[in-house]
Amino acid sequence: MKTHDVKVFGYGEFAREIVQQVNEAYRSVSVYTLDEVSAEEVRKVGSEVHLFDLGDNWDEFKEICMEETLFICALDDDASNVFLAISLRDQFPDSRIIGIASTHEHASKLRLAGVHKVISKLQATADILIEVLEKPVVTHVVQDILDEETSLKTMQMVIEKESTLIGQKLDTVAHDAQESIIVLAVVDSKMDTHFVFTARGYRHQLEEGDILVIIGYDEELERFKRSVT
Amino acid sequence: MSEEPHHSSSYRKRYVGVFARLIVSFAYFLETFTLYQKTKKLFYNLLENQNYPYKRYFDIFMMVLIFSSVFILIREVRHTVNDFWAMFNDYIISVIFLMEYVLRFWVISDSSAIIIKQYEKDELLQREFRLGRAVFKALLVKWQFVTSLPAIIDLLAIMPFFHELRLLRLFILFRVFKIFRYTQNMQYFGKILSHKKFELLTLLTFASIVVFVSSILIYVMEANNPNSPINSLFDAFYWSIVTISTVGYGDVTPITQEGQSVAVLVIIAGVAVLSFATSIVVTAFTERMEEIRENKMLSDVKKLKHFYLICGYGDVAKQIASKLHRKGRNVVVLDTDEVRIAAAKENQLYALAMDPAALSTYQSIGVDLSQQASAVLLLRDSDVLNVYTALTIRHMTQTIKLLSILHDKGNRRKLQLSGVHNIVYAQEIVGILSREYSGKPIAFETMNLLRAENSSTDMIEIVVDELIAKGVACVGDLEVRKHRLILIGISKIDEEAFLFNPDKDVEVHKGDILVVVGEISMLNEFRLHIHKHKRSS
Repeated sequence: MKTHDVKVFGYGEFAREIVQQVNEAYRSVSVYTLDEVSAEEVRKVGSEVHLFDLGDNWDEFKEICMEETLFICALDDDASNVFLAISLRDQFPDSRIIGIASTHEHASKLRLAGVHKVISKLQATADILIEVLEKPVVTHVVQDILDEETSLKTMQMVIEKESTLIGQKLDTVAHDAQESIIVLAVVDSKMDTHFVFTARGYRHQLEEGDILVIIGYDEELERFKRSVT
Repeated sequence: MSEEPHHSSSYRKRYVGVFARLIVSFAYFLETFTLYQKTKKLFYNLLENQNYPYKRYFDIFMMVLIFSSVFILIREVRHTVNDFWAMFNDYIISVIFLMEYVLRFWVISDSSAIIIKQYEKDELLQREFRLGRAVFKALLVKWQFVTSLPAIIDLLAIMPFFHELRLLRLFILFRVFKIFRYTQNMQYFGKILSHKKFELLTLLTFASIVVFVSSILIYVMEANNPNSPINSLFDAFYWSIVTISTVGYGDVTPITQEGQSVAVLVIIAGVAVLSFATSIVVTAFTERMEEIRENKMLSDVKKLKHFYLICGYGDVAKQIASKLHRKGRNVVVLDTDEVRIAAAKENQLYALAMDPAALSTYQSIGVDLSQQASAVLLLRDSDVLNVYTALTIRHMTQTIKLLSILHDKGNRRKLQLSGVHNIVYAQEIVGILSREYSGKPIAFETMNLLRAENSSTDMIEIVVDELIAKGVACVGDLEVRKHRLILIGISKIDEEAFLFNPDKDVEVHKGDILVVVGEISMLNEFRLHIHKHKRSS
């Protein structure tokens, strides 16, 4: 299910950037801070803010739809961040959680605490710098894809029950669509998070629930989506 | 009658004046004669300049000659060496060594420059040019070379040329000492010991006195005893040396009680001398070890043809350096913090505890950043330091690629103004990644996997070189799908634009860059294929 509600914990320098990036993309973005000073800062930028502590009182979250909600643990203190992640996992076993890690050690503890995706500040910065050095054109392409203002995008498309793609081989779909978009990979519905890149899994027969990862310009992506549903 | 001496002295003066002018003119001629200067520079580099890239080959060549010469000497002891090898050893090698000696004598100093300097100094002070003084200064430098230990060894190594003198053949062994000239490690060894010259000399004096006194004492005690093997002063001297060195062959031993008492003293002195000598050498090495390592590091960095320069060795730098190192890239780290540099060295990086923002750092390393460095990464602890370092680099070269991390969003413009090409703001990246993951987790992981280090699938860049351009006219010729690959796009060199998902008919030119996705094994095969591909009619 699509994410509609993002809850960001913390309002340090990394959390501020996260709030700024996700603010326009989602129906509801709320910030949870540990102190009134940070809460005041959030109010100034016009975002929804709540005060919280690391106790076990999560009553206000009991009513929300976990499938539509994403928690982002971005507290400045590593120990508190891990504690927050493990508390959320304990209270809401089905929730999706992203953790922001400052070090390798912090990242592995967040993973142990049950975080789905750990974004390491160091790792991400180092990877980008190396990519700029070693693959400048690839970096350019990836930046274009990530840049909200350019129309080149990635799209993940779940194959619905009525889709015309069901029963077709991945190679055929990729070949037919080649002129407008690039079908990069597919996630097999039976194998959950196992990626099959088009190049390798060309004989894969598409089924309901498979997810296609596609790159293309906005209009072409929409046109492709319409043509197969 | 009285005018004759006056005339002869004025003639002599005039002749000397003309001769001096001729010498000065000749000196100026040599100083401005480009071919002469270039040739001299070339030989200087070959013989003396440790940083000259081709010196290594010259050194290897000379070492081969030395070892072949020694090999022939050993072979000659029990076997007959054929005429060619005998001639090679006696004449060819000796002539090469003689030429080397003469060339060293030539390049070691600039005599014409010394003469000109003296001439200009005298002119400035409006006094008569003192040719004798100038020649003396020029000869003094040459004399210092001739009397230096390496030059004496060089000269002795040429001696076997006079092979008729049988004894001179043994001078071939001096050729072995020449190895010191051609191996830097040996030179370091010599330098280290030279720092302990005083201690070693003191010890040598002590040992000499002990040998001298004990030789005389043992001679006095033993020579009159008919049963004693010590019958001459030489026997006594031989016994002293063998005993003090703690070797003690036992072929010559004192038999009188007095002689044995002397032996006890010499043995104690011998143990002391040996222990002191060992401790002096060990201390010399311990004291200089860091300096040796540093010198070795500097010399290695100078020789690197391509490297990434990392300024500052914080947490991000550690990650980047270790990833680049794993990819087989050369990484040079500069940081003022000794602890961080020690950590970088532990990670097998070229690391120097020097200030990356100081021009003198690059002068003392002796690197040409514009030629040797592929890019400079500014990863210091603050934007202030990164801006300052960027300007230092820009002062040296305008062309090098500069990348920097940004600590405070408000300083982005300052880094741009200081000439940084790519600025990475960690907070922004984390924000974008969080947004992408929250919206499209599958697409996000796909892109992540393509860029991950240990994935079997990769997204690579292939630069269209001349060979590829010869065989491939358009995208269709690449046969990408046949290789089970995906062509994401082409960066066109002539249009300076990226064509996403290009049409089959789009032309491919030299310099274009293809962005291709696929399995690493297929990508390697594809690379080979497009290099061998013949253009269809």
